[in-house]
Amino acid sequence: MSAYKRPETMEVVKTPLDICWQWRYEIDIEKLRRLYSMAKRDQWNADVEINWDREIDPSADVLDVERMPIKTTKFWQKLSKTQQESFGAHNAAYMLSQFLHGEQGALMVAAALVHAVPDYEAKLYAATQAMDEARHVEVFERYIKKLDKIYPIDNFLKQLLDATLTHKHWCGMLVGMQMIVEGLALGAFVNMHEATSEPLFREMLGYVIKDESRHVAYGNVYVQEALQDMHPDDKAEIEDFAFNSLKIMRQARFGGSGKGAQVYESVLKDSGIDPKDFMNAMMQEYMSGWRPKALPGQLHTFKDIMMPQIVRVGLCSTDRIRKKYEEAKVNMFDDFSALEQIEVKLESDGATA
Amino acid sequence: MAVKIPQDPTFDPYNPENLKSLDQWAKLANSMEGSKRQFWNDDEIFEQILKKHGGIKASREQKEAIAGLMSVIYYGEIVAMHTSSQLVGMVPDLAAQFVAAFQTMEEAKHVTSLGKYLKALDIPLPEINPNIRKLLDDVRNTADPAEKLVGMNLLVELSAHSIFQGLMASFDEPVLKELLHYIDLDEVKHVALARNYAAEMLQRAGPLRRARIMLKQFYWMSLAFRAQQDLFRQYKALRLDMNSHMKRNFEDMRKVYKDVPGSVQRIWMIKPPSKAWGDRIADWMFPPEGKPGQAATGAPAAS
Repeated sequence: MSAYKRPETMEVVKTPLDICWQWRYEIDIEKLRRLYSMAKRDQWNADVEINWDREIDPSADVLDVERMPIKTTKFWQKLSKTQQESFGAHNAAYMLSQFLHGEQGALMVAAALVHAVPDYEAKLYAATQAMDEARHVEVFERYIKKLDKIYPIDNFLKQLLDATLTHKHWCGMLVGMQMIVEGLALGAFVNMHEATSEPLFREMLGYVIKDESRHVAYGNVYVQEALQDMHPDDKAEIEDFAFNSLKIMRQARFGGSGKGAQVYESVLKDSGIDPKDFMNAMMQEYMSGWRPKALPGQLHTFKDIMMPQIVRVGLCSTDRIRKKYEEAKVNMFDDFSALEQIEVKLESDGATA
Repeated sequence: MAVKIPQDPTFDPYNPENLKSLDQWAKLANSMEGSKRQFWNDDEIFEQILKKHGGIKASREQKEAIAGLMSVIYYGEIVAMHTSSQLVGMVPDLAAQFVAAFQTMEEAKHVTSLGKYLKALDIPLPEINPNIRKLLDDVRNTADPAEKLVGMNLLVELSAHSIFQGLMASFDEPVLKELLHYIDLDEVKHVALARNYAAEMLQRAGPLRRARIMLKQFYWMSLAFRAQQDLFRQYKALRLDMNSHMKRNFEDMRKVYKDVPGSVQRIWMIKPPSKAWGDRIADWMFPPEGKPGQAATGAPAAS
C-alpha cells in the first residue's frame, strides 16, 4: 500500500482490480475496432471548437423543464424575476455539478478499464474514452464556473460511482459506468440539448453527446460479448450489481435524502429562497395534483435507455433476477426503440470510420 | 494473464477543490494543451505516409533489423498504455490525471500505428528482448506511482525519444522516419509529465520509498544498457551509431535532470554523468568504430 502523505481533504477509494494482459494483438471484435476508429476521428479540442468568450444570458433557460419542474408551479410565478434568474443559474450549476462529478468518476473507470479488460481492442477503445472523459471534466468545469459555482456531489451518485469504481470484476465496472451512469448522462444530455435556449451550453453538449453515444455503445457491445462466456456465478454477481445500481437510481428519482437534500438546500439559500417555504409550497402543489412531467418527445433515461440496455444484454434473463425486480417493483422496460435510434444515429455518423 | 495490483488512488474524485490543481500545475496544463493541439489520427496519417512514399523502402535485412528494434518499441508502447492508465487513478492531482489520461490515448495510437507499420514490413514479430521485458514488467507491476512515473515516463520514454532521434537522423526509410516524427511529438510530452511532476511525487514519498526508487533506477539502467548491447546488430543494420546514440541519450538525460524542480527531490533521481564522463562511458561500451567494448557484459560479437 502506498506510503504517500495525503492531504486531509482526500478520500481513498481502494479498488481490488486485476490487470489483464493480452498478448494476442489481433483486433477481432469488429464493432470495437470501429468504435476505436470513430473515437480517434471525432476527437475535438474544446479550446478551438467552442467560443468561450460568449457571456451566458441570465434570462436563458439553461435546463429543460424536466430538470426544472418547479417552473410549472404556482410557487414559481410568485418569485421575483431576480429570484427566478438566480434560482435558474444555481439550480443549473447544481445539476451540472453532478454531471461534472460523474465525468470525473468516468475518467477513473475508463482508465481502470484499459488495464483491466482482457481484450486488446477493448483496451484501445477504453484509452480513447479516458481522453474523452478528461475533456468532459474540463468543459463542464469551465461552463459551470461561467454560470455560477461547483456544488458538492449528491449522495446517490457518490454511492453509485463508488460501487462502480470498487467493483472487483471489470464487467461490473462496465455495467455501472458505461450502461448506467453513461446511460443516465446520455439521456439527460440529449434532452438538455433539445430544450436549452442557452447557445454556449447547447454547442458544448453537441460535442459531448457524440462522445457519450460511443461510450454507451462500448458498454452494450462489450458487455454482451463478455456475458456469453461468463461463469453463471460471475454472471449472477453482475446481474445483482446491475439490479442494485438501478435500484439506487430509482430511489434517487423518487426523492433523495441525506447529503443530496443538504446540497439542494444550499441551492435554495443561494437563490434567496427559504428552504422551508419551498418545501411547504411544493407539498401543497403536490397535494393539489401537480406532478413533474417530461416534455413530449423527450427521452426517459430510466425507461428508454438504462433499463432496456440491461434487459437487452441479458442481465434480466434468469428467473432468479426477474423475481428480484418484481419484488422491488422495478419495471423491466424492454422497449429498445429509443436505444436503437441512438445506435442508428451513431452508426450513420460512423459510416465512414 | 492477470496480475494482481493494489490500486491506491490517493484522490477523492468528488472534491470540487481538485480543479484548482489545473492552476497549480501550469506546466501540466501546458502539456494538455499540447496534446489537444497536436492531436493526430493514425488511421489517416499512416495510410497517407505509406501512399506518399509508395511503401516501405528497405532491404529484407533492414526490414528484419527494423522489426527487431521497433518491436521492442511496440511492446514498450503497450506497457506504456497500461502504465499511464494506471497512473490516472494513482496520481493525486487532477492536472496530472488529465495528462496521464491524454497519454493513455496517445500510447494507444502508438500501439496501433506501430502495429500497422510492423504488419506492413511483413516480417514475423520477434519476441520481446528479455532485458526490456524485465524492465517493463517491473515498471508495470509496481504499485508505487512515483516508481511508475520515473521508470516509464523518465527512463523508458526518454530512451525511446533518443532512439527515434537517432533513427530519424541516420536511417533513411521515409515511412518510418515520418511516422516516428509523429510519435516523438507525443513522447516529448510524456517525458515532460515526469520532468514536471516527479519532484512532487518524490516529495510525497517517504524516505524508504525514495531510496527504493533510487535503487530501482540503477537496476533499470543496467537492464536498458544490456538491452542496447543485445540490439547491437539491429542498430548497426540501421546505421545507428551506438556510440553517438549513447552520448545523445546522456545529453537528453542531463537536460531533463536539470529541469526537474527541487534540489532535494533531485537527489533521489539518478544524476546523469557529466559530458566528459558520459563520453568516456559511451566510448568504453561502444568504441567509436562501432563495436561493443570488451567490458560490455553479454555483448554480441560485432557483425
